[in-house]
Amino acid sequence: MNRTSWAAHARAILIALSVVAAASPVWALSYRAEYEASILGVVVLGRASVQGAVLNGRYTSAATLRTSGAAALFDQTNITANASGVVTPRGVGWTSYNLSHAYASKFRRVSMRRTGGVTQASVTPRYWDMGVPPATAAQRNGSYDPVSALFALGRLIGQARACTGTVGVYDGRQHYRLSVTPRATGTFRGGGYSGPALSCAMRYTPIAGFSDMTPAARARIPVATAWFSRPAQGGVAIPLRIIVPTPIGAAQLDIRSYRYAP
Amino acid sequence: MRFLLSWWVFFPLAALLVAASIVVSLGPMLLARDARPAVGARDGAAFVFAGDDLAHPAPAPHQVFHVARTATLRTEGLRVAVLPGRGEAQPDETGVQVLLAPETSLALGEGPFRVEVQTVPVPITMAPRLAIGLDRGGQMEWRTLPLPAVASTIVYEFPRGEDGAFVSAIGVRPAASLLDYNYGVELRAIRIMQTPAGAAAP
Repeated sequence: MNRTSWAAHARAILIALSVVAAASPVWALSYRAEYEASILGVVVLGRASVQGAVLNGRYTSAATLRTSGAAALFDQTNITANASGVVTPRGVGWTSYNLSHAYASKFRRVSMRRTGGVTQASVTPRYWDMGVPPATAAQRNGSYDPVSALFALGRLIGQARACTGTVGVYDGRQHYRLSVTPRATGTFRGGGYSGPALSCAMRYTPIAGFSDMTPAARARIPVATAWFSRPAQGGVAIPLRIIVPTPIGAAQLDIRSYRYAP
Repeated sequence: MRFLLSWWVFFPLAALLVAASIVVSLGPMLLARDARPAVGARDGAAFVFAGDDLAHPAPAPHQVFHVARTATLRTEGLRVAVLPGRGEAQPDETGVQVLLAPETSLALGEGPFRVEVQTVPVPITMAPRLAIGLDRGGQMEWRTLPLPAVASTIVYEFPRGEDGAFVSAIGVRPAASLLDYNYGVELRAIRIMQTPAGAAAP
């Protein structure tokens, strides 16, 4: 075999490998994290959990949220949500989202499906007000559902291994943007996680589907500080701590248990 | 009685009474539990949800549930009942849901599925029918079968779902025609497996 044909064969093998790599499972991993929300560091407001799995280029993710401690005396909210879709080297494409919201003996279910780039939402019972202005079809179709948005943001941060990323979110009524920018890097220890972490400024920007979002109210939205795990290249960054300043003190979401199996 | 009025008895006793009143007023809230996805135990191609996997279901309107425990507080089963006058399970109902962990959803694939439900009767208020539903997004797919009056395993069959529609939860919804009580059943285990026609391609 001469030198030229060797090169041609090597190139062909490389191309074949890259095609196989693109077509085969992107990666397989599963993760689970549980959180506790508190205000002023002592008054417990609720508990939350996030878990997800990726296999053969598909993902499912689930989240739960429940008021507990002092907050449960005034409001008993229980939210369960899940989403699924595909993961390709180009990004995350969600296909299905469900949310069940139980509060004060009332229930609401939001189901969304995304087929051919078109998002269809079904909300039972329906919202009596879709906000001013309501989310447009383009905004709905160009957004992630809330659970997939967290997964996509974690993947963006995980791929860059830095606080960078913006995701548009549509939850069946409201359309908003979540974005992170870098603040610091460091080591985080607690809640079962011990390792490198990224501190990010996290911004929540309401866009459409809100009824009471005056310019003054928008101006009062605080910038949160979010700590994310810094996974190996290509992994998913998991939120470790989110601190939101409020007029009565910092509200904080802290990780309480962590499992990540790449 | 004068003994009770001494400060070192009176104040601790008053504090204890206040604490007891708060605890009693909280009532069932003390036992409130998170709805939490369960991984299930792998049994060949099937996943089995039993014991603690049944202890964290998501609630549903017009239904009540109770986690039955042994004397040693081990989860024995999940008792689910429907409020009077609700008729048969409807597609826009979710039922009390046993939530599936994401890795379980992915491993199960898109179906078709066989769901085997192990039940034991409850005294007096045993529901005559039990609907089991799969939550794959959108409306629930319910299958209703009669409930035998003895401990049994009931088999439900579900067709393959749309591409990318994974099972995120298994809904449980007893059905009864009588209007006097909440009627229900106790579930001891749920076994779900993809039937051979839907086995995933290699």
